[in-house]
Amino acid sequence: MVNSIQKRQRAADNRLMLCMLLPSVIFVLLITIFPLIYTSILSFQNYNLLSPQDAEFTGLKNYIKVFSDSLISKSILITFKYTIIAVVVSMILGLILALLAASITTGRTFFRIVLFIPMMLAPVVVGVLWKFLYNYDLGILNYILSCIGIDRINWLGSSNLSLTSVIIADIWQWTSYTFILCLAALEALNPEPIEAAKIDGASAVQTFFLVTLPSILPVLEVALVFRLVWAFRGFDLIYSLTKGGPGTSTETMSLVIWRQAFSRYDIGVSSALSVVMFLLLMGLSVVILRRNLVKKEG
Amino acid sequence: MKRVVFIALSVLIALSPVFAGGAKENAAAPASATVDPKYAPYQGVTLTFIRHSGYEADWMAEMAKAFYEESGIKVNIEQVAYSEMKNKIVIDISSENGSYDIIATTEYWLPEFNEGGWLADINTYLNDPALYDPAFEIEDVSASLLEANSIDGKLLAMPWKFNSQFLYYRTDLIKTAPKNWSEMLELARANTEDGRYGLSLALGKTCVMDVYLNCLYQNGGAFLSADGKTCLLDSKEALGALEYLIQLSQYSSAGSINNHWDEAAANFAQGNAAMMPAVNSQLNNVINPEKSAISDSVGFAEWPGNVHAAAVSSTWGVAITRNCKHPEAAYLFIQYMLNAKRTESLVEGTMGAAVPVRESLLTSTSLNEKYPHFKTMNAISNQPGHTYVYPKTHQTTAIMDVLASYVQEAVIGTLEPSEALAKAKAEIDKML
Repeated sequence: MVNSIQKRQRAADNRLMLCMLLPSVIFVLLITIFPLIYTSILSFQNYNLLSPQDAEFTGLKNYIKVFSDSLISKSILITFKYTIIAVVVSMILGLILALLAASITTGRTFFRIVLFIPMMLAPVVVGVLWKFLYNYDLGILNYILSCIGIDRINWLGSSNLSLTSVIIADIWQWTSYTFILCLAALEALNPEPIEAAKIDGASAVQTFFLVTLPSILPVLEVALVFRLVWAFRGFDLIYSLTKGGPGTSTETMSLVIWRQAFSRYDIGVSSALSVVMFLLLMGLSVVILRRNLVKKEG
Repeated sequence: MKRVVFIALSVLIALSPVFAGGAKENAAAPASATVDPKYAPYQGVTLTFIRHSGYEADWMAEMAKAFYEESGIKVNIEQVAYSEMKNKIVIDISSENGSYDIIATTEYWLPEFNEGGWLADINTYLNDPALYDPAFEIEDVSASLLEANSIDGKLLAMPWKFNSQFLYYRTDLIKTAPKNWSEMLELARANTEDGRYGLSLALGKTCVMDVYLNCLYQNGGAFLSADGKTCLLDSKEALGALEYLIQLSQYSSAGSINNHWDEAAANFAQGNAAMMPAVNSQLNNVINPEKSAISDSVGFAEWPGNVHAAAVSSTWGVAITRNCKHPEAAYLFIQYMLNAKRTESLVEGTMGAAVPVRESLLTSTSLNEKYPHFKTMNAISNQPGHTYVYPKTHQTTAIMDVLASYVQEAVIGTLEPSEALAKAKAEIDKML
């Protein structure tokens, strides 16, 4: 008797939760799933924005072009290079800054606010800001270098250095994201295992790698997924800094997608490349988060 | 207490957009009885006009306000950054439910927009006696520039200004402007010393193809075949032009490869270079004493050539989109804004940077005396073979992107000039 009442109550609670979640779910479906499905459909057509009425199903033609075009292949490599370096460095830097901030007692709030500022700026603003900083003749970075007797550097005009310069600007902006997450995770840690490790004679390095790091790993994995996604599909920063130049040295997949869509009006190829990007990111996210879920279930 | 404060703050923040607007004076609608009969059927209509931000946008906003007071037709001007403008336009006007009624456009976008059937034929309204305004004087607008804005007999945009490129040079450093490539190189070399470059070049991705095309035409070359089906970058003129550009770049800042027109102008205006081949729209940045350290020592000349002087030219115009529900009202605004008297006020307001398309203004004695570069602009536009327009294909933007990438690769040395041109030609031929 009591069980059936409880069952009915649970069912009623579930229905209420479903009703409350439904508007958000519908919204997410409309703005995420529907465009995704539509883009996938377009990726199999020769859809040109100038003559959409002539669009026809062309099978895998767009995907073949994506993987056989040397410029598109180059952009995929550049995207991977950009993402891996920017994400790894910003994660490590963010963690180091969080460890330092967690170890101080006074001024923690101040550092938290100051280090959070870059993340609050729009990527386009960051791009414009760094473009001024990097300006070969009038930028402050080269001015400082010249004051200390170092030759000016062609930050954005050298094909060898331009990608590095863009990565630096990205790291400057997004280290604050990993910093905030890591700091929150460190502050939420149970201090007892760390104290126990110290009592047992573990060094600071051993304590960090064997106690602290495993404890905050789930947070790091979530931060990693978000950083990967944002870096991989980054557009605004690169566009405002270099527009993919000089030549094609900083032309990432996002810029190629944009050019295909708005310069060549080739929505078919642009959609195919978008789908490829989505699948790559989905795959990476599943690999990272699946580890996390499997560990929790274990 | 804390909860009350929190709720009060939340309400204040939520309502703040309501108070965010400035205390702007709203223009007053005219009384129906005083309205010109041609405006009467369209009173109460609201139009949306998108254009890039800047002084001219502010001027057009003033025109829109005055137009509303006279006609009762409201024109809302949406100002966006130039780099974002075309994207926004394309997304909007390609949709059948787009919101833009009027757009600013350069004439080399017109073939693309025409291919999509996105623009109205302005001739329909130009020839409508019910909309006629004698003050507009269409015959005063340069016929060649009207032709440049027409495709298949349809006038797709009403031009308001003429853009070309000429040579700005420091009159305190250079007595006589160069007349050919050799003199140009020699002056660039002689004026490159510690703290100063011979040239300030704009070789960024949105400008380098303009600079290269100038060199190509100055060398007697052509970009596309007469039928527009073949790219001619495999000619010796094309190679010679690229090699010349590479030589010029050696006397310009290493950062030029990422400089756009305004950055090149800033460098020149700071006194860091002796010459600057650039568009006339940078004039204000160079001769305005508030912005330029060398405003009183700037001369203008045609950019000299190897075979003959030449410059790529274009116009900026105003077009009516197919989504406009009241194209007659849109045309009335264009006609109002771009008549000779109001165009003259724009020229004066930009210190001559907005070079008009009206013959009466281009040849006006007072304006030519006031703005020395008008003489150069007249020389460019009046001498046969000294002006070239962008290729009129619906792939022009994409073609320019390809050209820009490969020319940059050649300038920075990652590709040999001949290889860069061969690759560019291969890609452009595929598009054509």
